[in-house]
Amino acid sequence: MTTTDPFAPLHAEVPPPGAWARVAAAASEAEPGYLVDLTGRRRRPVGQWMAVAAAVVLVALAGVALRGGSDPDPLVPIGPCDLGGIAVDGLDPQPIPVDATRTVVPSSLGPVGPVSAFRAREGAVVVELFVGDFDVDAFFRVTAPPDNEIVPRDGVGTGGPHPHPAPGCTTIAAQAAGGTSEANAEVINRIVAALGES
Amino acid sequence: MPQEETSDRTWLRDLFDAEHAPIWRALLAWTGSPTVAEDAVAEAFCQAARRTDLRDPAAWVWKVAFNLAGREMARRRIDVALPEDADPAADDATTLSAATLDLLAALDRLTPQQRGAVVLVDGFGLPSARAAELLDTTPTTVRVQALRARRRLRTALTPIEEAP
Repeated sequence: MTTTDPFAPLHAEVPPPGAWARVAAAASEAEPGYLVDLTGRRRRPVGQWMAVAAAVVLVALAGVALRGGSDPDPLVPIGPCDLGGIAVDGLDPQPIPVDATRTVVPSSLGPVGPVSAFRAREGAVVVELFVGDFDVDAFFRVTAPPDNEIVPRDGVGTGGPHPHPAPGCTTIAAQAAGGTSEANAEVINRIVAALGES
Repeated sequence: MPQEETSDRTWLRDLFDAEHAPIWRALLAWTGSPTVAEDAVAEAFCQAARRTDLRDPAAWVWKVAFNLAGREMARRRIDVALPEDADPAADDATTLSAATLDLLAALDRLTPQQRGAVVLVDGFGLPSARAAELLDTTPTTVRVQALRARRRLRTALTPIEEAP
């Protein structure tokens, strides 16, 4: 066998042209008023929710800063969000580790949901909270895609358009009585406890 | 180099010029698909264009590109039932040299982890720790997988290299 570098032909290959034009276009289109999902597609205008979404992003960025700066991994789970009466603000704002590869990402309906969901890493556990005046036990269930019809990827769930660009995530659909912070926090904590025991 | 927010996006162009081709080549070798490599690296730069908080933009883009490419390959494995003898690069590899196609064919015989490890460590000279970050594994695993991949790759390429 010769000592030729087997990767030499690879290093002689030239990428196809046109990539920079795509990047430049994306940079010019990165305008306020739209949420951008993991695949880079622009989502619906958020209008009045923009301030709320921006606040959530700021919380996430603050979390990154507390962890020592921007992480090469852009998928930073975020915790508390409070929108339209669906609140989980009783939770620890830091990610809730279950083990090294699974992270619980409390989400919610509405524009904030995609923000947190698109930050979920592959393999994460995304908790979707649904508001309703129901008993927690009756509506506490654990499902995983594709059986979970509530939050299909890039689909329309029961809560309206709800992009979920984190393939490989396990989605837990939970419903808390009245959608109160305390009830939602209790559900999340029970899910975390159950996952930790599994 | 820390990212600096500038209105003219000079930092983005500089980053693109320095990293686009290497990332594309690494993804090409890892995935075997020029299309997946092209889409993933372009998308990673598009996402970088929207960020203003990147401390190490180059490392960030590499990581995001590998994440996107890995997910696309996983999706293809799920969505597309290829025949066993199908060449995943055949549909979009016509512009590649014969030598590169031989290399991709040899790499295709490896497991994804072996392929990623040997490509990044041997092909691009990355430390095992850095390769482990990109492949979501441990440096030890990278070293072991690269060793196994080296042996299999040597066997696969020997007849080609020793042919008169």
